[in-house]
Amino acid sequence: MELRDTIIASLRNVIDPELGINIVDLGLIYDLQIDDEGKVYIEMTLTTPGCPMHDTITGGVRNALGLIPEVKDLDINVVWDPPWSPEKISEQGMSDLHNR
Amino acid sequence: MFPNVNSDNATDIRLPFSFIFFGLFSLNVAQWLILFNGDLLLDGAFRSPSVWMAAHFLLLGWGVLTAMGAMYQLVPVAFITEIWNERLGFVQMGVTIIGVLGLAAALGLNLKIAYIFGIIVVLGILLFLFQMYKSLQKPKNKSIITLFVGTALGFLLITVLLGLTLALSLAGVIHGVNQTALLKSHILFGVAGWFTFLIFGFSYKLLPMFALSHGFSMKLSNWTYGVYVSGMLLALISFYISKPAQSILFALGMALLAVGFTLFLKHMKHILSKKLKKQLDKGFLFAIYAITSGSVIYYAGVLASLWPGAGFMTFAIIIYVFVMGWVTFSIMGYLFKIVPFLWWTHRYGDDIGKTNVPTMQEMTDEKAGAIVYKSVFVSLIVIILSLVLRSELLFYIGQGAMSVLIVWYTKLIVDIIRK
Repeated sequence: MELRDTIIASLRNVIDPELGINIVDLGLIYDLQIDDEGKVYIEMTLTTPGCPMHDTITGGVRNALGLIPEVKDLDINVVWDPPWSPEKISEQGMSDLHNR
Repeated sequence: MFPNVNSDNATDIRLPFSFIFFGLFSLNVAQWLILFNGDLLLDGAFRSPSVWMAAHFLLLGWGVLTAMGAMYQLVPVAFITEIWNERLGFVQMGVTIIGVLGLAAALGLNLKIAYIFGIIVVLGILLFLFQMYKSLQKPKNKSIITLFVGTALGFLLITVLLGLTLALSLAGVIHGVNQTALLKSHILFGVAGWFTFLIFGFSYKLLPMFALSHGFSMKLSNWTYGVYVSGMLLALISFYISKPAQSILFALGMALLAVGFTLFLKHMKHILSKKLKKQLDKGFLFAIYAITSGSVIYYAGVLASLWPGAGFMTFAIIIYVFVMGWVTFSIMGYLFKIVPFLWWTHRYGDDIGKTNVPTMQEMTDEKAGAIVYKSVFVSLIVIILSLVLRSELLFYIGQGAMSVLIVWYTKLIVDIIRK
């Protein structure tokens, strides 16, 4: 499995505890870059500015990627532009949301 | 493992939890006091010491202290800021609790010393207001939520100053005060002002967040604010003028308050129409039903203000139902979301991404919650009927059920922090 796939699989372990959906299917991950030295850059957002889960979810990303030995360094950038919108939710995420 | 970089906005959970659990204790005490003083209530003797005691446990101990605890958690969340001084928060909590316990007891047992504890309560509330002023000064971006919450805090200040003046007057320390007008203003600013604006303000943040609503308009919030504040102003003026202008102005004020409240209800329905979440949690649903309940109560108030036969008993019933059906039910609903959030963050916040963690919904007993919420609503209807029909049997059935249900509700909240 490529490192990129491993990282995405790990990010699926980070759930929004209010919605019960992982942050990948929620469409919160905007950009993922990995350099040759194992430095990972993640640009992400949250469903609303001032989301009470801000620290918890970014902490969850750190926890998840901290378990991957190939990831040597991590930079998370939380952005509000473009703002998150429901269109960013994956088909799986939407189905989960409707079934809860 | 990468170090977690916290923005340090999160509050020490012991602070909101202490307020919330004292609030729940007070809610229980108030319900049992009301139960044991049913005869006084049915006789319309609302101005009796034990009824005052129950009212202050309900409004100050439960309402104000729970609202304070919720604000210590919600202000950092809604305004993306941190609490200015948490240590002051604990001091403020201690002062306010001593004041509330002393005041409630003095009102029931020794009216002469009530003003001393009244001063301590005022001190506790002033410390809280100072804390909030300093905390809310930091965020640069002000929104309609800031306006609603700021207005609520302003109304809280006016409420306590009016209450203190009233206590000093009752104790004979100051003279020449229109006690009836003061009492009416105190109730107006406290119940229709502070509590209502606070719930309005935070609902604008919490409703879209819990329902995952997107793409809604905020236009109605300005209308809600303007119409509701105008209603409060007219009602306030009416307390200080003579009949017949008094009755007309009061009816007009009540009508504007009802319309303002309805606009808020309409706005909440609009926000909910844009929700992505299909199933809403039971506590959250109950908080939404409380808005409808509040709206109905307001129209009852309008009718009462137009009905020449409406006396003190009629308005006392309406105020009690407003405090229970709107204020208490809203808080009871939102607590079922706030407490799991606080506890989840404390208990599982560091585990997310590492191991499987429960969702917030899994922290609450939704089935039992639904039963409690439906039953307290039915109990309130029975209590209203008992007061209208002056039926002792109905009162003891309704209030007895309410008292037991509140104990059950408290257990459900306590159970959350066992998970």
